[in-house]
Amino acid sequence: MATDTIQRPRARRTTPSPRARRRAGSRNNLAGLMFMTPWLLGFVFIVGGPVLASLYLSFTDYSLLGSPEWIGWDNYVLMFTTDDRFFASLKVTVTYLLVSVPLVQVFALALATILNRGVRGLPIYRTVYYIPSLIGGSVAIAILWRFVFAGDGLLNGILGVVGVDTSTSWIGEPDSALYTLVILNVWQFGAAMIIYLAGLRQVPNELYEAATIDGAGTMRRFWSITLPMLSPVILFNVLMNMVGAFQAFNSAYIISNGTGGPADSTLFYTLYLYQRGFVDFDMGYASALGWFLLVVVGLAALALFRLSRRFVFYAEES
Amino acid sequence: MRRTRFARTRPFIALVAVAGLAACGGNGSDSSDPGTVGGEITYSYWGSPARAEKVNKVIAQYQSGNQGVKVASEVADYNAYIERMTVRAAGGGLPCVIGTQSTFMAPYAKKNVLLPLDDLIESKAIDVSKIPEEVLKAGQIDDKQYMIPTGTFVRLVAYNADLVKESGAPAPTNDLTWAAYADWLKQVQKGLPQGKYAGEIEAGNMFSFTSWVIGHSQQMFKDKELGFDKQLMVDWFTYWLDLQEAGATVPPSMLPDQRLSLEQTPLAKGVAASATRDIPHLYITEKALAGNKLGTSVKAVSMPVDGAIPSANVLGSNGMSIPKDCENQATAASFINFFANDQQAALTFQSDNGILTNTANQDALLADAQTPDGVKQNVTIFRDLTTRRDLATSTYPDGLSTLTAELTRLYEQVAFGKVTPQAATDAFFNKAAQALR
Repeated sequence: MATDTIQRPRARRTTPSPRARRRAGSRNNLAGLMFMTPWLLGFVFIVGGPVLASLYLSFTDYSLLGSPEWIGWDNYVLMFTTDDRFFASLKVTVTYLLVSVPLVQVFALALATILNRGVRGLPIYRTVYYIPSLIGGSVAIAILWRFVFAGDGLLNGILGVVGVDTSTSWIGEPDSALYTLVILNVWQFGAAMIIYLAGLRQVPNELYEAATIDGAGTMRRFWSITLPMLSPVILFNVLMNMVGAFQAFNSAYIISNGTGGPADSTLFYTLYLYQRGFVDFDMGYASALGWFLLVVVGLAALALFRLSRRFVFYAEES
Repeated sequence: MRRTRFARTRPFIALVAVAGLAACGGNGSDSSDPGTVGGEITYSYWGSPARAEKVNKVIAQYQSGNQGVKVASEVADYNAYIERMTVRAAGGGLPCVIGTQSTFMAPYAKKNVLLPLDDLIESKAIDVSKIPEEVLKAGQIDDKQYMIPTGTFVRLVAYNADLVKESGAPAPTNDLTWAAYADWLKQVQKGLPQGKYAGEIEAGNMFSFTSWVIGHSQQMFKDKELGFDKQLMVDWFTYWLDLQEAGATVPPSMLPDQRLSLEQTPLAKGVAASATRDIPHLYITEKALAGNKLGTSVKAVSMPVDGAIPSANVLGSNGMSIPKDCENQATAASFINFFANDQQAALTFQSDNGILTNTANQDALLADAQTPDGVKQNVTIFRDLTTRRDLATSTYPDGLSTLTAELTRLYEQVAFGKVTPQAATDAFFNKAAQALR
């Protein structure tokens, strides 16, 4: 006797087949590529291409009006062996960095700590202290700074009112000119302050309460709780400020009229790079200076990150 | 409906195509049949909004007399203009008419960026018959005319007549030697109140240094080298250092103030009694002083001379040039000819960028009631120098901008005691060896 087997219908797939998954994936990839295209084109033509071109030019003698002539490592050899201004500009830049970056952190953190105590009118204070960060890098402020610190400027006028009679041109003397630029940078501590303020809000109150119960005073709580909890934010601010200090240009250019004077005392590295490129039209050498700056900033950032392993505390890791 | 593969990628291809076409866009202006006057050109120059207003009026006059021609204009301040010009020259994107100056023309001429204009002059497309020979020379490199000078400037010793009178010293004369000039500065300083000085520091100024070199019967440049003795430069630095230490010049901390705009310099602010200035700047300085009630009259005398040569008043020129790759040379030449020779254009422009070089237009400017007194004063001073043949010329080679900046920087080092005059001179010669190659 023949028996009919019941043909069960094939079970419907609940998961897509590998082929369907591949098709969906390539559709997503294509959509992503299309959205990225403007940025990709911009990166290739405006950033990547010129960066690679400058690497090539750093090994050439190129004056813009002629063709680049390959000279190998000559630009780099010149930089390290005979160019006194290269070292002078490095010294000025590093001095500026070592003085202004810590000062910015100190002012920013101090003010953020005060404002975190719940003062009245906090939004107003926040705005007032942030405004210099917005306008401080502008040409107008740099020109104003020149007038403030000139021999017959505002600072000497104020000093005269309080009985200090001086006609010193603070921007005209090599010993003080750089520090007027430091003051200009420190004046723009508002951006760092906002970030510190946000970071302080993230510190759990329970930690302070527990420390208070254990008898910790204000300074102890600051050193043992606030600073460690804020250390990732400090790392971020120091890194951003450090990179900014290496690249500082506007203030030195405007205040020294592009010369880096008086007597090279405000010759920032980027200003020297600009002079070699756009005053001397030695684009090959300027490109070499640019690549050296890239290496230095990279190494400095790396050193900072290495150092951060010892001093930065990430709460989630603990 | 199932979309085809092409339909899916079509938007992506369109986006790339548009980006590619945009990148291929070229300069649409400055084109026409090269042999005839017509089409569009662009005139690029440096200056202030006040100058731009005058240039636009001159362009309107040219266009009304040349139907079918359109002239666009671009203006930037001096330093930005030179940087932009060099970058555009590198990219082959210079407009058909560019403002040039005898001091920075050489690298562009020598690297075949500029068109020699001799053929256009010979064919009378550009008429230079009313421009004096010595002025025309300022636009030449290797005996080829690369620039049509439209305005000249001459460096002189300028002084605040009221402040000098207040000091009790006599006014300087046209026959000074450098030693006599130093004595005069010290004499002026003796009679000035505290906070005022006899002179600005000229040691870092390339034009003043050029006068020093020429005034000692030497030349600035010879082929691709410096043409003067090292000791002459040591003496130059020492000369100003001595005056500085004697208190007869502004202190070195005021050196940055000397590089500010004319109205902000120690001379214009009544802090210094004298300084070297180009003729067109005399009136501007006078106006600034008068505006602050610090003086009413700025006069000028010839630069000091120690050698046997008749003059150290170095002449420079501003003018117009045509890039070699201009596709509308006929129109460019026509516009330059109009700017340099048309009387109405001259009366409109009023010598805004140096004393007009066309002698007939100088007459018209002096006769016109609308010409400001300061402009008439400038033209008169220049004519007087021309009549007396009290003018000198110098060459301005490739690398001059580097040496100009280096001289300023080196004297600052000397002024603040960072280096000796000898060391500064050695550094300058080393730099020249690299810059003038």
